[in-house]
Amino acid sequence: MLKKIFKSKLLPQFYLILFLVIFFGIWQFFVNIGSINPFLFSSPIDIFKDMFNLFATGEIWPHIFVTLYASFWGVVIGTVSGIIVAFIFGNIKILADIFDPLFVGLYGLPKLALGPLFIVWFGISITAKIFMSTIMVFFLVFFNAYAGFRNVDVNLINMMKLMGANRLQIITKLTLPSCIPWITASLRAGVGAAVLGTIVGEYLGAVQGLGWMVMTAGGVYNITRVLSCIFILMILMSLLDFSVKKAEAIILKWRPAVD
Amino acid sequence: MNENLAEKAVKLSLQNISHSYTDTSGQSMEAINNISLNIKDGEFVAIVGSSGCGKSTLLNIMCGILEPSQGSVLLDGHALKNAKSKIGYISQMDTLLPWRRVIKNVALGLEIEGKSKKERLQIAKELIETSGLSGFEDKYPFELSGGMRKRVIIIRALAQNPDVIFMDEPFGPLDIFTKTMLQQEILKIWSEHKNTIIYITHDIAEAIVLADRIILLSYRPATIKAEYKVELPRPRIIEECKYNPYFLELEKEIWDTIKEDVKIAQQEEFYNNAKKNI
Repeated sequence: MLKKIFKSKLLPQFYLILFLVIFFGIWQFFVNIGSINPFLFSSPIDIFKDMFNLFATGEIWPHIFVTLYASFWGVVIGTVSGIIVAFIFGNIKILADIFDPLFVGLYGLPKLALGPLFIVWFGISITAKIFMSTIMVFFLVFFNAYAGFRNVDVNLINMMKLMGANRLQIITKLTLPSCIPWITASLRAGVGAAVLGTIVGEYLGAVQGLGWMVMTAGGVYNITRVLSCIFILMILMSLLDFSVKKAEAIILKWRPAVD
Repeated sequence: MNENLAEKAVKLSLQNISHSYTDTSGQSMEAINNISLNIKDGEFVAIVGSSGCGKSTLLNIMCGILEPSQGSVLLDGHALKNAKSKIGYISQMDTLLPWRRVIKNVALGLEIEGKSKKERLQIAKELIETSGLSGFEDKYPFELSGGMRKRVIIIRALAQNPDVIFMDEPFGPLDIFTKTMLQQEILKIWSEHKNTIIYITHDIAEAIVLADRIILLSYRPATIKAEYKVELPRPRIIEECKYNPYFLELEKEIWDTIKEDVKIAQQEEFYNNAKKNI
């Protein structure tokens, strides 16, 4: 059995589980002997019990749903608008020249600091979270897609022109497809950014969502609940990243695998 | 073939082409100086010059990618923009679209022309079969070897049935065996389709075994330094041509003529590199 694991591809996963077991074991051990104050640090057993209860009672599902819902729309709106703006800038040079410094400036801004504004403008609603999430994704996708549009191989453009392609054909058959790797690259970071944006939105003002749960539990010193939510978020992020990676592999199956 | 070439119509005509461009340091560089050249219908012309002499610039002007500073290019007596003849272009770059499978890459030109899906895929399929690429229709370019990719690029150009094919050192980075095989294939295609081929290379031997006529360019600014008719009988077998005494004689003659220019080219390159490193 052990031999099989050592030979299989799952070795890293095996070590990860081993690491987590040891980590939680040590944590629990110090709580049990009284070296760690469970009021401040909780304990793995309490956290697991709490997580189990959250799922068993179904209490957690609406919160997960709300957070994912806002993040999903953040990714969709952020990506689409990022691509469209990048495309316009890529084709109209004067616009790019005018707005480039502005965009770089906005990109450098800690967008989370804009959160309170959105709450004021959109109220304690899902819109504020989607907006927060969108703006996080937008810049990531925009800069990547813009680089993609500007890096279309001039040899390929010439080749298409000599074949008799018109401008529209060059865009649909060359420019857009050659940007796909750039866009998918930004998407992996984008999904993380979207969830981050939503969570921060929920910190600032919400009545639901994982971010709200963390905030309210923290407010009453329920460290166990805070940590359960954080673990749930971690698992969620891993699952999302895994799905995006899988989707990327399917979309980019025309590229040699990099290992 | 060679005998009746004299009576054929002029296909492509370069009239007093000069070209200069501004380099990165703002200096005006003269790349081409007053080149005039007539290429006949069905002729295989090789343009030979040392690296950096401006032969790719000349080719880009010939096929219309680049507008010359002076002079004009006529295809069938018309300016390039209004010419009806179709042109094919095979560069030294790998210009396959990596996200398209082989068959869709071959069909690209036909797709641009607006041919129906059924028709273009059928033409592509036939070309793939005749070029020995059967079984690779649904592969992506990255799954093919360098030689196979070049072959796909060649049949992609042929799919549009071009009257004139421009080739810019098409087999540069390939190994000698693949290169020889592909050169032989080019000769076969040319004898079957009777296209006009303009072939850029720095490889004198390659130029001799392929072409009817060799145009030798001087180092920058490029001018026509010499012209040679290649009298090797056709059909030619590449490996055998190279042992023909006539081949060796011509190769030496061309080499002797171009030697000085190669020297200048190398000195200049050395100088430029040294300047970069300072």
